[in-house]
Amino acid sequence: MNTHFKSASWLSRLSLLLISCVASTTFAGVDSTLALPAEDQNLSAEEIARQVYFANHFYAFKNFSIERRGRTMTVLINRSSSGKVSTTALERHLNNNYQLAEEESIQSRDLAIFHSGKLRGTGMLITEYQDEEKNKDYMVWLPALRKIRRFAQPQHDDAWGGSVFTFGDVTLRKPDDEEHELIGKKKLRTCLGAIDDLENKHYRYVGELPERSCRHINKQVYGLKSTTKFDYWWYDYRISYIDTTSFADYRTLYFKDDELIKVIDRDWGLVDGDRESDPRALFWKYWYGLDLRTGQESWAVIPKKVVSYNKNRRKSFWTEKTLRKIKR
Amino acid sequence: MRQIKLKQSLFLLSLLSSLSIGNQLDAAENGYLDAIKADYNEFNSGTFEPPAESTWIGSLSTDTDNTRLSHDGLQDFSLFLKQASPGSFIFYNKLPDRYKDQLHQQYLKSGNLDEIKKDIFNYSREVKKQNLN
Repeated sequence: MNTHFKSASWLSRLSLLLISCVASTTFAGVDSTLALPAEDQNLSAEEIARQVYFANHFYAFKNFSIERRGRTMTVLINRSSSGKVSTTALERHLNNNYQLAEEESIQSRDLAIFHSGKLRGTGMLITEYQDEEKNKDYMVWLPALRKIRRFAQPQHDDAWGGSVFTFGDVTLRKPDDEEHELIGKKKLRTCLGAIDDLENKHYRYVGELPERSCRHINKQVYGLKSTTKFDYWWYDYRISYIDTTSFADYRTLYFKDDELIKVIDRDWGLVDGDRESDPRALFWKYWYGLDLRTGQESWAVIPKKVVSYNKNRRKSFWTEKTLRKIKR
Repeated sequence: MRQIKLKQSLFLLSLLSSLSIGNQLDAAENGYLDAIKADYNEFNSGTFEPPAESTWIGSLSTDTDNTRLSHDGLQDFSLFLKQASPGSFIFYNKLPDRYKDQLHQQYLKSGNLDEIKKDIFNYSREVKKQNLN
């Protein structure tokens, strides 16, 4: 009797442990239900990291697109160490609205279409699953073959579109991949980076390139130190400057052996000026990256004209069907 | 003969390495790296010591391009608008302060000058209607 009681209690403990494990795994993830913290709330470093992930994955929107409007598109400018410039025009559509029972396993779908450069005519459909352990699905439309091929998830340190930005920087890195520490709170003091000799220049696809963004100077930012959990990684830790209200990460500095090796600056804009709306409902105006090891610079510029969100688009848009329709 | 070849290859190597760090030097020369390092050091020291005459810290300094102002104050924003869109500025200047402040705050959030210009005209109409009543 006593033995039976003991085994029952052992079982209940085990089940409690399992439940708590599952709960903690769910808690570690970030989805569109992550609440905006109260203004006076003291946030931990991990909570801040989750809010940044929320803003960067556009979870404040059902869907978010940087599309094509006539000849206007988003451009990714890469300048190599020798000064050679290459340009890629692209559009990107993100859908976070998967809540029906049959779609429960899907977290989001991301469709990217390249319109110029070496990747012209290539399409990429990425499916992210709610199960954090599950790898993302990559389907790529190869225009030369006119076929879709499935690819394994790229490595976190693979270059995105041949740029300074890695897949980890753009989409793959999750809050749980790093250990976070809050190093302070201060004002942002400098303008965000840009390829300075291209500022305000007329440029194909965007009309005119912007100038360096100084709007965020004197905004209050958290300093967040994120140390990678990966072994033998390309950086040891990174320091991010995060807006204390909107959780926009304006700047990230990457360090290896305490040496600055890479910088990424992001200019953010609020889609809706309404004071009542979610301050995390932001969009990227531009990304600037500088790799100090190679001297390569990248600048992704997103004209406001091409940004749209919460559009009434059928879910079938985020399927292979759209990939097959891409014209070269 | 071997020595000559060695010298040639050394020369080529140094030429290549100087080319490869060309852009890095660009970023360093234009003061961007110094500015962000000074900004980062503030986390440790608690004080911001801006590099001299930097065009990356949002002040007018030696650069006469006012559009690079931080737009932190209303005055800076007005000055920026005057240069960026003189036509809209005429209407903006006639608006009551509370509208100007609202426009400034909107610009800080969105950074979208086209929207700000539209709002200036909307506010001007609103003020005109109020005056007529």
